[in-house]
Amino acid sequence: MPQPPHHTQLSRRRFLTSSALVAGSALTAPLLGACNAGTESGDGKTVLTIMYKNNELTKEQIADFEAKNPDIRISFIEHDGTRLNAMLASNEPPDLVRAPAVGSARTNAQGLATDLDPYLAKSSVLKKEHLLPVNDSFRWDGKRIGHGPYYGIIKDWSQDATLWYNRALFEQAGIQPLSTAEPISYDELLEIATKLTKKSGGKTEAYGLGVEWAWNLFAPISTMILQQGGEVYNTDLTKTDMTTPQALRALKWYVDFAKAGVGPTSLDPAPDGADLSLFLAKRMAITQDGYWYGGNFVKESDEIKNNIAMAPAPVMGDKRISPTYAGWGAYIPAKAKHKDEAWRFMEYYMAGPPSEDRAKGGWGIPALKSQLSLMPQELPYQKQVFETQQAELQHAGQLPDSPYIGGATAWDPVLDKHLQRAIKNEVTVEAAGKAITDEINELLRQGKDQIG
Amino acid sequence: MTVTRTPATTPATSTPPAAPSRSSRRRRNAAGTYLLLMTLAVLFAGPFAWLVLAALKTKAEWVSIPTKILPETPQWGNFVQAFTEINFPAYLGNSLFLSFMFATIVTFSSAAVGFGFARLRGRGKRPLFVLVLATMMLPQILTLIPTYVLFARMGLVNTYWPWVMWALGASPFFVFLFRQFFAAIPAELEEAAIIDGCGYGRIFLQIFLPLSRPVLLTSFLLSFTWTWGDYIAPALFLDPDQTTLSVAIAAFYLDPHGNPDATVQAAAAAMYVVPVLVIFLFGQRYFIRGVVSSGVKG
Repeated sequence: MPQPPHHTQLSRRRFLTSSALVAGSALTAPLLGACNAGTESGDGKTVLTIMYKNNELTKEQIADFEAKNPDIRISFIEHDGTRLNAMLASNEPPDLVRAPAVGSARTNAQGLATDLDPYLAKSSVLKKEHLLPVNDSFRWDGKRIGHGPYYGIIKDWSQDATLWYNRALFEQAGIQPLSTAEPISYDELLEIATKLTKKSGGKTEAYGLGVEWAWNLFAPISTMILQQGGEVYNTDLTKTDMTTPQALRALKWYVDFAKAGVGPTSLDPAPDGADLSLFLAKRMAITQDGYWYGGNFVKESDEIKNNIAMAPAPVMGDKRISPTYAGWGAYIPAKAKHKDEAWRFMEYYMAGPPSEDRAKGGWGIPALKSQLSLMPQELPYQKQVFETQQAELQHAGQLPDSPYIGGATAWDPVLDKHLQRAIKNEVTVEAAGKAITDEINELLRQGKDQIG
Repeated sequence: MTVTRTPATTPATSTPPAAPSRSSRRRRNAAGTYLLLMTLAVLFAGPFAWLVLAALKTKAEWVSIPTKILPETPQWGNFVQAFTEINFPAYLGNSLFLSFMFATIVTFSSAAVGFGFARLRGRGKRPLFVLVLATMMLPQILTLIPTYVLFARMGLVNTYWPWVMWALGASPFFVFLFRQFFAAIPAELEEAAIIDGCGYGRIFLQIFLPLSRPVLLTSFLLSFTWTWGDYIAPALFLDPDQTTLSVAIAAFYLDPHGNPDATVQAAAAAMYVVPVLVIFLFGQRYFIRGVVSSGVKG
């Protein structure tokens, strides 16, 4: 094959092409790189990287913080678990991360979060004595939650097993509405839900009860076990047993609930995965959600506002426990570059104007004692909810948390898989409990091997 | 002798119906084909139609049972809200820029690599080609976090440079596509060019690339739609202001407690699909030709 000759002559066309390429590159390069955020901005400000949810930390709040702290500029990152893992793996974590208190044991045991006790001791606006006990889920003493230093602060929270219901649907079915003072038992609740469920031609026109199946199974099942005086983990948090009478009763309730077809499950999911749209469309009579749910109704029609009410968390046993299933808040990663600035943001966000606005908005129970009185009571339903909620606070317990497993994220797929098999009569509830025990214990063993 | 002439024996059976003419048979075949195509068209267009209808419903209609197919009063406001609730034009611009830039570079780089594998000689070319093809088996998600660590160390997170790097690295699938196409071009063309004084750079740029317009367009279309629809990479590498429309639609239409606004999301998703549809409608002829001429058929 002939060899190509070398060309050195620059033709007019080649010159124009090359010029266009160079010009294009010059124009494109700034577009590609203009957005890179370092740890210091060009004007000498500290760039504080915060990973949060855009609906919880607004642009207005960021601007307000920056105006009050002119030496800090916030670089906002949308909360994303995969990105957080990648950032932690690259030793470039955000300076402050959104995280739930329930399930924080694993992060704390791995040494990924900063001990906040020294900051709490120095602060004038955010002190230990200001914090409600719910913040204890962020504490870790090396062996158990609830003791030792604080590794995070809760933004706001709810006792997520409480019930919201629509009185009009009760009246239509000729059923007495739920008490707003006394808790109902889970068995009674299922009975009432069955009566409230309306079916036609094989389709469910209205559900009696929604338990937010897609959101969490571990927390409600754990609550049921605790209410009966049982335990989810052994004392050193390395093993579970879902074959105890308490655990089996809780699992059986879920299987009976699904078989009765009174609410959405993973086998019959809600159209958008959550109960809210069904509840607002008057296609669900009761939904199990925390205090925060009330924030949804402020802008709804009077028909909705005048008919909704909140009832205490149902019980399965003698112990009245009504814990938070999450308790979203934030922590400062151990390898964060700007911990002091992150703490200033923590003070602003957890105890400053955003926390007061949140408390007044009714989107969650404040995590500070001083802000409980700010919870809204203007509308009639808000007044009723406030009273029920104040009484419910006396029963706020704490969900168990093992550092060797990632809480509901790890538990839920295992629970769902085996509950589905029991619902479809492929296995008994006992067999499902045994299978769940085996799978979770294997995950716990792997977690123990990783953490030591 | 009397010869009796008997008429030609008529068959006992009745005369068979005249065989259908070729044109009527063709018409019947065509009708069958069109019926099949129409069924498939309805099947494929169905989800998009459902998306548009969902975008025009109220929240109550969205969850109603029995399901309402048509909204009582079309909620055009959902489209307005989808456009104004987030900075839709900015995210659209980000998506367009990133997709266009990635598609252009990856098409060119893949063509160059494909040309090399098809027309240049070198030791180990075949195993190297097999190795390139083997990388297609590696799911992108597996390499994402190590890639993040790499780009984070280089200070390129929250920039569009990772897409430039990925594009410059070429795509194994497009390399294969181009290699197949270039390998089918007669060697005489290349030899004539060399005799006329062309170097391999000019042969590639001025002879092979213009000839490969269908494959170029196929590669451009596929890589454009891939980047356009990608969620995970922009979610991982880009901050909210720089991110793409796919991430914005998935993450930003929420109420203060994080409940998704399904009908507004549907309206945004319907608008999000339009640019890709338009590009495909204009380029489909070349796209099909490109896939066929490179020997890659589904």
